Amino acid sequence: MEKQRPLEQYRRFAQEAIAPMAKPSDLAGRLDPAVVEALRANGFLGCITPTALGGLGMDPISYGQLTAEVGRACSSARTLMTVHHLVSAAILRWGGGEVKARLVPRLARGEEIAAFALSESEAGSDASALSTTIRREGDYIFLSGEKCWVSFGQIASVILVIGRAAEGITAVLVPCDTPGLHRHAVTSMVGVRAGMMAEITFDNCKLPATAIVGRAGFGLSHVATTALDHGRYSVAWGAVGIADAAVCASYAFAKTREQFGSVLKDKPLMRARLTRISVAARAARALCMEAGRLRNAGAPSAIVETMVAKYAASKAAVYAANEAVHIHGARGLMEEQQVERLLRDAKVTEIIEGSSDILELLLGEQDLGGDLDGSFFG
Amino acid sequence: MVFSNTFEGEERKAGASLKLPDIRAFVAKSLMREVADDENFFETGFVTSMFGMQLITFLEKRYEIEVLDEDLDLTNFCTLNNIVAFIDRKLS
Ligand SMILES: Cc1cc2nc3c(=O)[nH]c(=O)nc-3n(C[C@H](O)[C@H](O)[C@H](O)COP(=O)(O)OP(=O)(O)OC[C@H]3O[C@@H](n4cnc5c(N)ncnc54)[C@H](O)[C@@H]3O)c2cc1C
Repeated sequence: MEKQRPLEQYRRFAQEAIAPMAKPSDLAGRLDPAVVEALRANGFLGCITPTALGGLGMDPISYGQLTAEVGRACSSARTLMTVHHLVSAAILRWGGGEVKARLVPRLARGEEIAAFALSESEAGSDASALSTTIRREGDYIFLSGEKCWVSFGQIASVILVIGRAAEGITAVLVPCDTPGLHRHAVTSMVGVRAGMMAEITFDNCKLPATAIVGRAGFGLSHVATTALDHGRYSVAWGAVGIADAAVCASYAFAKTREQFGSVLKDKPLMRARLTRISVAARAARALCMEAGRLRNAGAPSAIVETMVAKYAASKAAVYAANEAVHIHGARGLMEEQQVERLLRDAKVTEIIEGSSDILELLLGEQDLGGDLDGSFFG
Repeated sequence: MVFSNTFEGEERKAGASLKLPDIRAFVAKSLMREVADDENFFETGFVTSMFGMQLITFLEKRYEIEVLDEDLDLTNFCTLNNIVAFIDRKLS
């Protein structure tokens, strides 16, 4: 396992290698290749992969703190980390020995970039309604369908696709050079604007049956659930980063902007606003730390506490970013400032990896009442 | 009820008498209802979408086993008795 690096190092990396590129990437709708290269060069595309498989083997809290720093600097760069790692997590958990040995080290070294394709135009929150088909013929499978909103689908070299086979919903790994795979860039998405989103069509793509991850029929209940659980953890920390950035920008502005003869920070109502967003950001971080602690312990309750963290952190990010725009007044809505980007990016965290509504439904299925110290599930 | 996080070796190898109440309590807590030992809980309509992964994470930690992709067979996990039999096979 990688020796834990101090938070300061993650912050310096994110502020020096990523933050300067955030605005130009956002305006161009394309993550600057130098950012991808910086993540790759530092091993940050293999954070969760064990060292034996070529990764950094980071513990969940270190990984979370790095993700928050990257998210604070640039949500599009954080999104790349999220989707790449959630695919790695699913393969590490459910991939067969051969696929794990071959693909995981390449993902960890950033020689391959992974994307995740679950959503379809008629299957969003209700993923079980998906209609992409996986037809089996002997040792081969044939994949047909259309996926939308695939983050980094424009540059991915391999995609974890969730489709429907005779046995039920099934996950398959699809190299992007497979004949019949076509990508169409989505350029009008304003949240995580440099997320290089694509719609992907699969026109009877022929793959070896070994492309199936886990067992056929377990693609949603186990493979996608593992991927989304990781994704939620990553998005939660990314949202903490957005909230932190919103709080810092708000304080910086309120300390210098003068109205009615004194700086805004000295106005009682402004102090209340600043206090509320600071507390929300801290609370979100605390929930992410708790989820990280439980993940580190391998506790079954980690799945639920990760949902709690993602639910709360995404709300904190939207709240803090919205307040940051407000505190900046008209300037808050100018592209030159970074706060309007924070608000656009924060909103995405409430929609992806299970929207806040869906998390309320999922958490509503859980007995959150008698288990606050985690003693039962450990 | 509070369990220790891991079993000692002897306890871990003990038979169904120890495991069954343990797993029964976990499933009851997760599904917020009691289930009979031979009841297929995937057919009851009470299984939540997170349950499959929660159950596997619990079994792995509790019994120090690794559930592999080839173990993904609903018969291994659909009743309390089948889960106990699965754990016994993994530990043997
Ligand atoms: C920037 C971005 C990146 C994304 N990247 C990816 C990706 O890489 N891969 C991928 O597969 N998908 C991706 N998505 C898609 C994302 O996962 C979906 O947008 C999400 O699952 C919601 O689906 P939907 O947009 O179809 O909304 P819908 O499911 O149509 O929901 C619309 C609204 O209704 C609410 N709603 C739905 N059901 C209920 C209910 N039962 N009760 C109450 N309210 C409900 C939702 O919360 C939402 O507010 C991305 C989306 C965005 C915005």
